[in-house]
Amino acid sequence: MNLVDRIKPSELGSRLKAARITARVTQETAASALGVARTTIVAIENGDRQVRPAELEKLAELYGVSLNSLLRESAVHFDLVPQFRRSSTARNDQDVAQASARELQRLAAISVELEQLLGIPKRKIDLPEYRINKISWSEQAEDIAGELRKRLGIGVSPLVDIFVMAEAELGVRVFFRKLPSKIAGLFAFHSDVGACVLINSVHRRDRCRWTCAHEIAHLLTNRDAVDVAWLGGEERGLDERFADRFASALLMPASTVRLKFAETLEEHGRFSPKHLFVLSRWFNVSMEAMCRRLEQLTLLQAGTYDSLKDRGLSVSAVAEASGAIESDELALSLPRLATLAVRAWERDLLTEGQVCDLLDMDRIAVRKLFEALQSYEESGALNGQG
Amino acid sequence: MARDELFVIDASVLINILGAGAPCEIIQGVPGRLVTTPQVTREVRRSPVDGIETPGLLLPLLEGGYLQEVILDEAAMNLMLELVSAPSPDDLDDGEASVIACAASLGCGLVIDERKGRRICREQFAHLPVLCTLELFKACFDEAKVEIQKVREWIGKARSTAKMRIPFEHKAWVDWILGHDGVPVQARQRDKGFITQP
Repeated sequence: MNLVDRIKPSELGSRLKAARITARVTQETAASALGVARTTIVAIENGDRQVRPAELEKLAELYGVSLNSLLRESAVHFDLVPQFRRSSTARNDQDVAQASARELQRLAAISVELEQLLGIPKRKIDLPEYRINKISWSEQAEDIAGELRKRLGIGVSPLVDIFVMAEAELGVRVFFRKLPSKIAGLFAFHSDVGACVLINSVHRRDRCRWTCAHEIAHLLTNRDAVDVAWLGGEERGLDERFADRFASALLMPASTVRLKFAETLEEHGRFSPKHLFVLSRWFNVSMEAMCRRLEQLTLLQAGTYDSLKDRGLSVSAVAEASGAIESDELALSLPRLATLAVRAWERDLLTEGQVCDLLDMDRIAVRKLFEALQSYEESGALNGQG
Repeated sequence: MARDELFVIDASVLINILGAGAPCEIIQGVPGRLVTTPQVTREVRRSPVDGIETPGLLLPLLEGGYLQEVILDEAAMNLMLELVSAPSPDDLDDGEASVIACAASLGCGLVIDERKGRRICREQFAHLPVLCTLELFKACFDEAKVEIQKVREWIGKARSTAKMRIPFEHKAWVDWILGHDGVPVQARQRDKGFITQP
């Protein structure tokens, strides 16, 4: 078969290069696998030299990718990683940030490919973009969070599911993956993909919600710049401080926090760590986030959380005293990607093997997924009538 | 299926055979001769079955000579590349493409469960016989006279462990074998010449 007839050498070359980099294989190693000079690999990746079928098979095996993923027409290829490389938010941990960026890129590409296969129209983002005010950024963050809630018609109650809201209402592609624990999440925007967010699934659920809210701030203020949200540490720039304040205001609207705080005081005469825990559960945020919010709104003294921690505050001990069970268990998955993949498989647009490849799952796990999602379909539509 | 008739098996089928719990016995029970491709075994190695790492399950099959890997020659490799790079939705994954290319090159049959793969075979390689996993089990029962109890166990385990799907056209036979059709199991065995002691 003449590969040139199916795919341009330059296109195949850039796909091979992307696969090699993702697999962290050097050009020397690739050259050695083929028994050619490094310059040959360079020429192949630049599209100056057509790769031979036998060479293609060896490279695919070396890079741990399928030939189908390299050659299929519907595969979506774009490169987000250079944006992360250039970003100051990648900090000194370039390797960690770039590896996470590659994962975000892979998931976003799969998501777009599945939508294209299924004929789902490209999502439009119809959201304003704001410039952060250097002087009144904290008030601005509160206002923008309030405007977003109003725009979405969600009032001032706790958000039921911010991930679904981000996907369904804001058109953000939200993914979860196990990342190094120092990374909370990533944000990127690309014209072919829209906004996409990758959240670290090893973190507690309330932390994941916070990260999602934080990344939504970047969508609203500086969507052309990528973001890597790190846990803790050094001084944060204006963008990051704004995003944190926005997250706080989005998840815990000031008026509702004041109301619930006042109700607690009225009923119990005081506000204890137990009440802090209960309030944090109500808003679906961590105790730290809740406490810092109360400090921000001057309902508690500045430094209250740090003081509690110094005195040995234990979330689990408070939970036990409150009679609640605090679960760290995170049961996040990729429901939208999985649903799209199953639909594509049901319509014979993808084989089981292709779904395994796309979702990076083994065959049995994919079959279990088919069974689970198909059983929802077979149980029929819900009948609203009695 | 004639004795020693050659069939190339796909990853989806091999996973079912491994999940059935007695892969060597099943392959020995099939009247024909089964082979596969390195692309398929590579893929299957990545899928643990019943929590068991498949290299451990595959090794006895390959080293014991029950299942042979057929390396694609240049013509078959080119056909495989055509199949993996075909315009969507006709493109196939590596395993299936290698199996079809191998079967086309050898002029033999193939065993493939995937609907999309079977469709491509019907449309482009109609001259090649195509079977599915259940037809292998059926051949073991009908032609090789493997005991019904064994076939029932294989199907049950392939369903529970490997999540083997039952195509609609084979549901009636599966119900019959598993005893879901209301016909007493003993009566079924007598039909097939097996006599059970009271």
